[in-house]
Amino acid sequence: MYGWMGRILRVNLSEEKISVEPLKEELAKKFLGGNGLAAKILWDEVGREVDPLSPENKLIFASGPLSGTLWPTSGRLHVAAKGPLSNAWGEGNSGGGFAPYMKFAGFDAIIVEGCAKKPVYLHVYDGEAELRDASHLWGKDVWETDTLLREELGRDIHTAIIGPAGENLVRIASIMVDRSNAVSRSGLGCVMGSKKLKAVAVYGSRSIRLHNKYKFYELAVAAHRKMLNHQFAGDVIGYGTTILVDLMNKIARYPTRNFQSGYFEKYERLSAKVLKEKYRTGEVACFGCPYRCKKSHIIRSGKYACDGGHGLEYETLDAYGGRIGNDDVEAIIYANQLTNRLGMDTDNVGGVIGFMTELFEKGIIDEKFTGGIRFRWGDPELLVKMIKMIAYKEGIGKLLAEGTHRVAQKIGGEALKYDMTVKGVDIPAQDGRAQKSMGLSHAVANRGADHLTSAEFLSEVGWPDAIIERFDDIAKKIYGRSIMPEGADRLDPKFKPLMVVESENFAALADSLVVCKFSTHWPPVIYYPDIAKALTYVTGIRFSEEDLRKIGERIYILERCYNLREGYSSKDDRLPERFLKEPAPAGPCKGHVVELDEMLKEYYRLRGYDERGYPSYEKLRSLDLLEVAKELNIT
Amino acid sequence: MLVKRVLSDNSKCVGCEICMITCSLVNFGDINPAKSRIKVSRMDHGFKITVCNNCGLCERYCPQGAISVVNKTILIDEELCNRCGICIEKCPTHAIWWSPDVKTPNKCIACGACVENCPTKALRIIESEIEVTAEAEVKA
Repeated sequence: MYGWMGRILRVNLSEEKISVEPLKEELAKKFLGGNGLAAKILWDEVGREVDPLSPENKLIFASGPLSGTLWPTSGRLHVAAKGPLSNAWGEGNSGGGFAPYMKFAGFDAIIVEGCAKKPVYLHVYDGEAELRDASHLWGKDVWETDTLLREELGRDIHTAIIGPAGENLVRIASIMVDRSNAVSRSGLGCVMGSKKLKAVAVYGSRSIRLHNKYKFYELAVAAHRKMLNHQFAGDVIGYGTTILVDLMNKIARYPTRNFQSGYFEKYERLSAKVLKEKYRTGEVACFGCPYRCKKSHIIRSGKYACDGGHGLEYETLDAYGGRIGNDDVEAIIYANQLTNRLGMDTDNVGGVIGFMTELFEKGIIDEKFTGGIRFRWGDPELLVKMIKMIAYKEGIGKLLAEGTHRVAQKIGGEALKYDMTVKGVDIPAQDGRAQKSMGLSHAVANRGADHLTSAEFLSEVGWPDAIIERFDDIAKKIYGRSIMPEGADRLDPKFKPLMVVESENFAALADSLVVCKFSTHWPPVIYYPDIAKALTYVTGIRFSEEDLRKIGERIYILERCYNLREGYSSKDDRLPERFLKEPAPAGPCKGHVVELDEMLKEYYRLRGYDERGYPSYEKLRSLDLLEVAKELNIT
Repeated sequence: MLVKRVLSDNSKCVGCEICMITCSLVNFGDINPAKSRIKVSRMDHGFKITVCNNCGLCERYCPQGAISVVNKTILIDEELCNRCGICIEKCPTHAIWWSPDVKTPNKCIACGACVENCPTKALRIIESEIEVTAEAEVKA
């Protein structure tokens, strides 16, 4: 096989059995890798009866055919399992160098099943794998564990590690890759913890073979140049996602005080310029990426003195900033590294603190409920304290470790109004009232509230060139007219369902290759034609643009069907009442709500869903997913 | 005698390893950082680039006379090399190593492909007189 390594590693922790299976070419052609391969494996092997935290759940680390190659941004890793927040499709995608080195170690994917009797870690090296005792690592934080593993196995290994939060079965735990890159959102660190798997370390010196190396080299180098020369590359290279704090406040899309507003009056204290001038020490790139968006920060003195690590992201600058009313940037840098070390998702942690604070503000709960802790907006010390309490399940932290949605369900009544989650997952750092396509994206995303499932950022910026290039022909075919000018208006729901569907399918493809949305979605540099050529040169299998569109849609729909099999349906494609009924209070979107029903109706039509949210038999047949239709009784 | 030299600036390196995959692809036709003739190591803070600077010391020590300046770079002759590894031992910058499936010790040949693809300009290539510094001699 060219491109793929052709081998999948299966590790059964209960039986301490390690086996190698071939990656069948037919499967690889149909699902490529990453999310696609993982969705197919989970569909086949992890059914409705399986509890996410039981040994029967399977945790899959997957690379794709472009992983580790010279294709730009080829360092991303996709991890999937049944998620403990949604009890359905769970996934996370991280940067770093794990996926490439998993391939250099000889494997396209690692499937972890069962549960170890005592804590173990997995060492994968040059076609071999070994389970090792991890009792000396259990209880250690992610960075300590990474350092110890490097001492044991060599400096060049790449690691995926859980912290104390994952060990303690905190539902909002992450898996941390190469110290500071998070596999987040779905609580997969909790799944890893339930298996008593502390870490996976990979390294290897096997080659990825390319079918047409000369053509691929030429194309890949041109793709790197296109990325570097793109007119919007400067912001990404200069600031990474931190630049968004300024930009999103200008359009009031920056969730503030549990989504009460999209504008935080003190946002300038958290701006990219402040971070760069006062705290930045360097920058780090993921494997194969020319953008180096991950900036390193350090606080040299004061109560928050710390090495902040790399990759403080916009999401965290909101979750630990505006969303909890906090303007202390040093506290955010400190809290971010603390959360990374303990191994949790900053979005879900900030989300649940913001939620509790609003309940306090509204008088729904009081100190009696929280064990004496008073939640209030803009309390950085409480933030740091709560992070530790959640990770170690101390006091009220035990409840909050279940994630916002379960806390809301437990309190019930009025509290449900402020539960800013979809499918059990906290809404990330976008206020859908300020960008309608994001509102729709949050409601329908397969892993629960998510911005990266569609990564529809073009209407946010309102950049016509890319909107026309990507959607205009399709709009003309479906609606008989151009997508402009409404397509570029983030506040106009018109055409947004089409843009979300197309962006979701393309994002599903990106997650199967596996490449970063910095390049495919923002800036919009790489699109189907380049990928079709790259895949053809790498694998020797002829992929057309049409083939790739179909693969993206197939993967997205299979993930959707995974959720349907778990009992999800149209009733779950909803947004919290706040976004539907409370008009945005500030900024250019003042007075707007998310017109969800209107967009959802059109979205379902474009997706070929019925009123229950099920895809049609014809759709599943056209995607070559008849086995799925059969199991879901779709005829 | 003029030779080409790849010079590196660790402070500009962001650890993307694009140089390494470029090198293995251009020089060996497949992708494998372990075959790369340039190496990026992750340090506790930042990154360290290791690459041969064509100082020429290995030429002096090679007992087989397998190392010579050809077309402004220093090459190891596959036919003459007996894989004794003395060049690896003597290299003052630790820039020669064994790589899987590579017949001779592996070192940079100053082809310049990595320099072209480095996104942060942490690498550059110059031409200068071949020169073994006193410091390098001491290290060897």
